[in-house]
Amino acid sequence: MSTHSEKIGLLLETCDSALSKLLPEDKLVSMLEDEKGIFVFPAPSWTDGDAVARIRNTCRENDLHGLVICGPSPESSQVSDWIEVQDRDEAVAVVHAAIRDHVSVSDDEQGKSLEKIERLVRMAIARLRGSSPINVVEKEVQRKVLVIGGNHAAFETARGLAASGLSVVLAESKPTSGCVYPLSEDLVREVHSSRNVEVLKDASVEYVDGGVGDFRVELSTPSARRYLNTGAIVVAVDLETIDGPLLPTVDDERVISLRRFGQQVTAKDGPSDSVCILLDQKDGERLCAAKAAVGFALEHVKAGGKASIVGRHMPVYGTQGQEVYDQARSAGVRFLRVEDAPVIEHSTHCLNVSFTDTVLPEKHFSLQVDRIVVPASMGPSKRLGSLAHVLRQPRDLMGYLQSGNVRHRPVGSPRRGIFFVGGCHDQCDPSQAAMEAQAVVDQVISQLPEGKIRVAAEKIIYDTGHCARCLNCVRSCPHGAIHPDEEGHWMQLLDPACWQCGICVSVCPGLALQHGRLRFDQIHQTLHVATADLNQSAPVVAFACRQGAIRAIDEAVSQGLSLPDELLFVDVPCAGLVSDRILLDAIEQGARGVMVLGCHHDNCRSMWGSDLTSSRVDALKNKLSELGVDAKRVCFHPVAANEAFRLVHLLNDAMDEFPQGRGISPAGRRELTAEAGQEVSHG
Amino acid sequence: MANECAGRALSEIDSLPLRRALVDEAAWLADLDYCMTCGKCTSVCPLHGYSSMDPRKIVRLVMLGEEQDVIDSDFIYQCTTCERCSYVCPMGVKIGNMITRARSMRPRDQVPGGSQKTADLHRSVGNNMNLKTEDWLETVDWMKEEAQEDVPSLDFPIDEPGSDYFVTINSKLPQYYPLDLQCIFKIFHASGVKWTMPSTWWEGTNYAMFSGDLDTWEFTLRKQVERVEELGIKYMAYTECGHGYFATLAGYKKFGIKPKFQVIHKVNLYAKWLREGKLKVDPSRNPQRVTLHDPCNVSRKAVMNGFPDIMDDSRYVLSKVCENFVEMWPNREHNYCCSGGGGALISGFAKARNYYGQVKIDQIDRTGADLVCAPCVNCHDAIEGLATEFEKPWKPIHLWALLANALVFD
Repeated sequence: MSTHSEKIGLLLETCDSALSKLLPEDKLVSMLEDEKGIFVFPAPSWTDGDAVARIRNTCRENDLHGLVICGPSPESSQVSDWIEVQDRDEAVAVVHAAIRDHVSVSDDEQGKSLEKIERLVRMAIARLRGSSPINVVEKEVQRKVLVIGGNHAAFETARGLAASGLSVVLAESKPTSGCVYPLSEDLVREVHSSRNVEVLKDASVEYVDGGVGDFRVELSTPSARRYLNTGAIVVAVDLETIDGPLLPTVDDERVISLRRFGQQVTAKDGPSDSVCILLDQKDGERLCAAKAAVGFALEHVKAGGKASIVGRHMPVYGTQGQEVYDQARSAGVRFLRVEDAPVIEHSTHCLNVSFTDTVLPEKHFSLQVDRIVVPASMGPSKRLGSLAHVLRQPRDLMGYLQSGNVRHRPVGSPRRGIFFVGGCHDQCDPSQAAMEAQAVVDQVISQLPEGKIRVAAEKIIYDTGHCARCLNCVRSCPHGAIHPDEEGHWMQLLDPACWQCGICVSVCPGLALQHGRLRFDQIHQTLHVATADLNQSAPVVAFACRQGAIRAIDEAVSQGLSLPDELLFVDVPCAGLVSDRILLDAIEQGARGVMVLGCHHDNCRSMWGSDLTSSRVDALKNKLSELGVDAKRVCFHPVAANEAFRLVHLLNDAMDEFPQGRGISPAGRRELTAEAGQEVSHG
Repeated sequence: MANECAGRALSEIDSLPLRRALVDEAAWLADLDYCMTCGKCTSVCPLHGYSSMDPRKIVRLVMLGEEQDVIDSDFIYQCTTCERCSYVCPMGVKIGNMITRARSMRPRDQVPGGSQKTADLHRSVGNNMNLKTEDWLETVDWMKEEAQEDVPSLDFPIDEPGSDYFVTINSKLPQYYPLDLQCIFKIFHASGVKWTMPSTWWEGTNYAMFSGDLDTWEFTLRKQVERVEELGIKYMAYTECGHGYFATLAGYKKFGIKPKFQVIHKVNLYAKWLREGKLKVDPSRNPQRVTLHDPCNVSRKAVMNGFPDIMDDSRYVLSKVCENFVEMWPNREHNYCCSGGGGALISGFAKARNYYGQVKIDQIDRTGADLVCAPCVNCHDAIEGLATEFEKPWKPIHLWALLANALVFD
């Protein structure tokens, strides 16, 4: 298969005492007598700081092609997915044979345990044998960052990046007028005078290409077009004021904005009068405005004034959100929770806020105040629409520029090198903006170090001979790691940007793409071992997502829950990798059933990977029925990493669902793939 | 200008009398502005649901400047100030104290029921039942003679200076339950301590606190302190009364009274003497199934105010004097009021009391007890009222009665 060495290392990670007792080194060697080129060696002591270096040396000295880690679970293992071999610019692939709970301590069940362990180890060896060598390449990165925005978040990020020695291009827009906290002039001056910062006023982003370390950006300013080559892009566009009067029904100079009130309180030049702050006037209050309101009310009361805050909700924002409430309450700020919007009665002599307290619905209250304070209504900037398009990033239901996929929070995105801070992805006040800016600076420094970065090459293997240039892969890549080149429209795969989810592989109709770590042949061989020597009860194969389901499985085992014995897990980087071809291969090879354990909707690290396979399984069920094969043989279940208990129940129930016996005949399969192949695409 | 405005200014709300009083008293009270309207107070209030008023509404009304509604409402006299509300309040709002304060704002002639009349008697005569000193001493003498038939050696002095214990008595005893006096005499006699029965200011209750008459509350306390100090006595043995004990300790704190003697609840004394072996008892004389009702004032409210409570000691005494003790649930500081607390027993809101009492009845029914030990005269009478009204098989009993019945004299 590969020109590389065929020799495979078998590392015994026997931190589990039951496992080491059951499976001594010599027993393992004799068990795998028929396998060629196996080199068994025990794991070094993990308390030794150089343990990984020693494994690396053993690999190099013995010219090992790859390493099978024979241990309790990948989660508890000390060895990462691949071990870099420094002086050869390549790395040793690592496959975990996860023994998990299959170690039985009772004597009469040990035979059964050993049988299962042997199968798991052989599956790992089969998977490893077909793998391509991992080459490591060095790449140049642009230590320049484009920051887009004109408020706290943008300036804080620009300052932090410039202070860390990166070169910054700030595409500065006008600060939002309605923002509760005025932008600090000192901060603006500091950024403008920094030697590392170039400011482009009113620039808009027209086009973005490339990936982390090497983005190509086209900007247009009122006077000219600019082409930049940057290593990272930070979107820090702030919230936008939604135009309109503060209170549509009341036109009175005693009604002021929260921003103005805040300025007066901060400068201590307002009257010490009685104010009423009205929250929830429009479509629900901004969290950060509520925090500001409480903070300003507190200052006002401290300065001798009186303040009450009227609202339907009392939202808590930020790390010290609740603390502000407590301070305000003890200082005498009154909080009034109302059911409906309060009615304002105003004449030249008086200003009344009439309302019904939620606790006393039958009673009507009227409060006489000197001034009414209303926060301006804020929402996501209109610019986010075009930025989302250019950056190929989805927006959430409210229109903010970050997916609902919480894994990327607080500031990252599915595209490495693209960051979101401040009001572009959430409501934000200056303290929060500063924290987020710092988080971005930390991540940018690690992604764009000085000198070259080392990445694994050929994460996805591309065969131009089979490529029809349909661009399915480009459209389906959630991480922006595939681009057609400008001349021939051949695909360019950007290794630093690739997360190796394998979605592109699964949607390629020409089979031009192969996953660099998990080629189809590897899966095929693994399934072959998994389903070999069929006895009465055929095994069920479960493709489990490494981000979610695998963690839940390990958690279940660590909690002492047991999993169905006939179930064999094949871990995949993302459920999106599991194509029809793979599903059908498992059935054809004799699996009783095939299960895909993906992530919940909107919870997939690769955005739509799980959804893709979920709909794929649904479609396949129909095809199987048409061929007279029981559709129950394939199923998809979403599982989150923290759902260990649910998973165990789910697996036990699923085992009863699968029909007994083998899947389908080879003849049936040929017919099926011919049909399925025509329709495989990313919908 | 103010007339044109229907609205109320915050400064005006701040100067309202009840609010003012509560803020001035802040050392005793967490300001009600801390209220988060979570509603825990209301959810634990046994009176909640009886009328449209509840503890949370009371707090909000005072906060929003509608305190007159609170002062005029029947709720403040239906409330038994059991303070389950204050106990669960996450922000430490002292709702019971607020109720007492609101009662004090009521004109005296508009206090419902008999609590103000009782307080007035206490002030003028020195006890609640209008007993003249000679009538009192006659009753004491009579009961002493009766007790001597059982225990011939029993004798004690009246107004003896330099005694160790000044014994207070609930005036209902000489008036309605004179036989109970014998029990108390026997216990004190058996303990062998130096004790004396006062001829005046022996009242062991304080209805002025119930009616909200702060002035009389303070007056009666000072009179009693004066009397004890005149006699130079070290300890005041407070009778089995919840509110009297609480009113005494809380009143000392509230009015800045610093007595030269120590107040000890009788239940604490029983337990002490049992531990010291001064009292010899035979539990087989009390074979019935007995449960314990924790009076709010000496359990929850004592705990909340840092006063010595009797919760452990009453259980200890019961474990020694009866054979078959069963806990009520919830108990100790989570117990429900007997339904007669806070003056509710004589405030005239019988319907509210029975509504509230249903909770107590269920609690007692679940224990399957024959006797409900209530170390508080008020609780005792309220539970008796419930048993009669709802024809229940159980009846209340004082701890002194169980203890005296079990006493073994050599």
